[in-house]
Amino acid sequence: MIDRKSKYLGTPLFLLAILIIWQAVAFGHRPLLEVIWGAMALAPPAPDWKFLSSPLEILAATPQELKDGALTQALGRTTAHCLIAFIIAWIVGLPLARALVSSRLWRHTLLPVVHGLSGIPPVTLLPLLLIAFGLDSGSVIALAIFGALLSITLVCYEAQAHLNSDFGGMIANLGYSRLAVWLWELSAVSGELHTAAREGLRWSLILSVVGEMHGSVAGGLGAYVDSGRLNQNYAVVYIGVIACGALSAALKVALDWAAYSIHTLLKRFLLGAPFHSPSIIGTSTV
Amino acid sequence: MESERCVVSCKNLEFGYNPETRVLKGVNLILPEGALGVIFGKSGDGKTTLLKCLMGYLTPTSGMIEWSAKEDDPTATQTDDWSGVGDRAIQLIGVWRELSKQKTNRRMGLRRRLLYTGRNPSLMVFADSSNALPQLTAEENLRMALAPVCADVTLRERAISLLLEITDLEKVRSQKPQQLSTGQLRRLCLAQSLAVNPRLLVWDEPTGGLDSATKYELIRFIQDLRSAVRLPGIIVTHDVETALLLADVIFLFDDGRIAKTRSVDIPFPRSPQDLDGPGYRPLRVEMIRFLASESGVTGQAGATIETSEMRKVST
Repeated sequence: MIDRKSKYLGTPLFLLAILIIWQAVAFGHRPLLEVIWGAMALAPPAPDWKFLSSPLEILAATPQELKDGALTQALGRTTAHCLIAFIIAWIVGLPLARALVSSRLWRHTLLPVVHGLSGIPPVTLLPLLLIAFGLDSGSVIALAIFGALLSITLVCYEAQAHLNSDFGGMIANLGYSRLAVWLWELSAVSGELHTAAREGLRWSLILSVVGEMHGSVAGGLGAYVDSGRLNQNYAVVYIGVIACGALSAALKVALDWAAYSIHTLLKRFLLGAPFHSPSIIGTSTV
Repeated sequence: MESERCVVSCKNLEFGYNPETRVLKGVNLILPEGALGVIFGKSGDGKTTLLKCLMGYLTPTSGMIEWSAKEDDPTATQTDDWSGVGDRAIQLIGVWRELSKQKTNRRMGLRRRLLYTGRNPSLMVFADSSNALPQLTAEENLRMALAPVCADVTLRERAISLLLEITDLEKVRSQKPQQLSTGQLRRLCLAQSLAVNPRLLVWDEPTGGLDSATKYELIRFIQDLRSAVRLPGIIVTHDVETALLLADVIFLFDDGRIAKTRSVDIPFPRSPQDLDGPGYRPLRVEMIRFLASESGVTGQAGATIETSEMRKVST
């Protein structure tokens, strides 16, 4: 019991400690930091410690940002960029992975290209994408699709390629149609597909923010953070960073829930019977 | 035997996983109607590859495979005397009969039309138990096998309960394959193959990984079923006892070919206690010799293995 309490309390206590230290350092001991910086001779001249906003300053600035609507608008735009890219990447990536698995011709021609492209840092393509798709959301979404698509395609391909070669034949021999065989195969690699989805979502969020930050006028959290830097309103930068983290966590939770729901519904559809999900809290059989 | 109507046969069947290596080197096999054939031989000789070719998982390089178009109901009994047949076998046959009625009465809704073909099902039980889907529980794995043939949820659930009882898996019905022991997993795969009212049993090493008691119980159950209904099958094994207790005909498989075919003209039920008796001895000796000669162990060591096995047979 004590162990469980300490497990659940450990993270909040640690975060609280970090916040207290951060507050103390930022609020009262900036000169101390300068002394330490100088003594270590890391990178003189010392940076402008104004960038280190304290947690209370960030907290105080947040209501105004929310009231202006700038933060919510930025959050909404980044979410839209990220989700559009993610969905398009899935719509293209999953059939592409399937084609790579089932066709030797596709595998021999396209797979080396996909592997080659995945080695290119997607950000380097941003200038070209800005020229091709303009300075608005198009270039940001294209950049996010590029990163997410390659990641999703490769993970889905690996998952399906390593499926037992007799699996499809076995399911078909039981009297299942081609569609059902494909759905069973997806169900069999659902764990790997979930990993692909997480990777794809991570890439689409990262690249959406990067795209918004550099060159584009699409708005979003990237542009919001950058505007804070340009205006030397550093609390805004921190608010933007925290909003990115919160968005990432929320999307991850939503994705996990969606993956579990799809998996459950797929099983119910294929089996044609109520699916008794294992209890999360669990009553194990002894 | 040639003139009898066959369930499955193949002629000059050849297969190789690559052009340089031929695994099957002209297999000729005729399984007489209603018979259970055992393909017996050493590991790595291509027995499982032959089964996969017969089931359509692999495409042969050359040769011909023929499945008879016989569509009669295998649950049509071949006996009026049910006295020697076990209760579980009678129950399972009852379920199969109801499943057969389901097939003829089935109304195909949109979901069923999308998902199921309505073909007669068959399931090859693989030696590595990969039939059991890792993402499903034991119960759901049986539901997966039954879903295409049974639209009636009540009947399906009754069949699942019966199959779990027959295979002694009731306690682990909610567990996933990776949580089961080797023997339990094997029994689950066998239950899946029995669930679908199969036209042909196709089992790869059905008794591999089972303890002696479970092995004989399973053999007894199959004997029970086969004494009541026409249930043809092909089994691959290198277990002499399983072969002798179940087979109507034994195909001795050597280096990608069927070297010899032997009929087992011993009436059912066959008991493990009788295996040392005079009825089985000649065939048993021949099978052990066949394995010993095939194993490539020559000279004194080979002679020692053979002698010790022979001594076991004779005692």
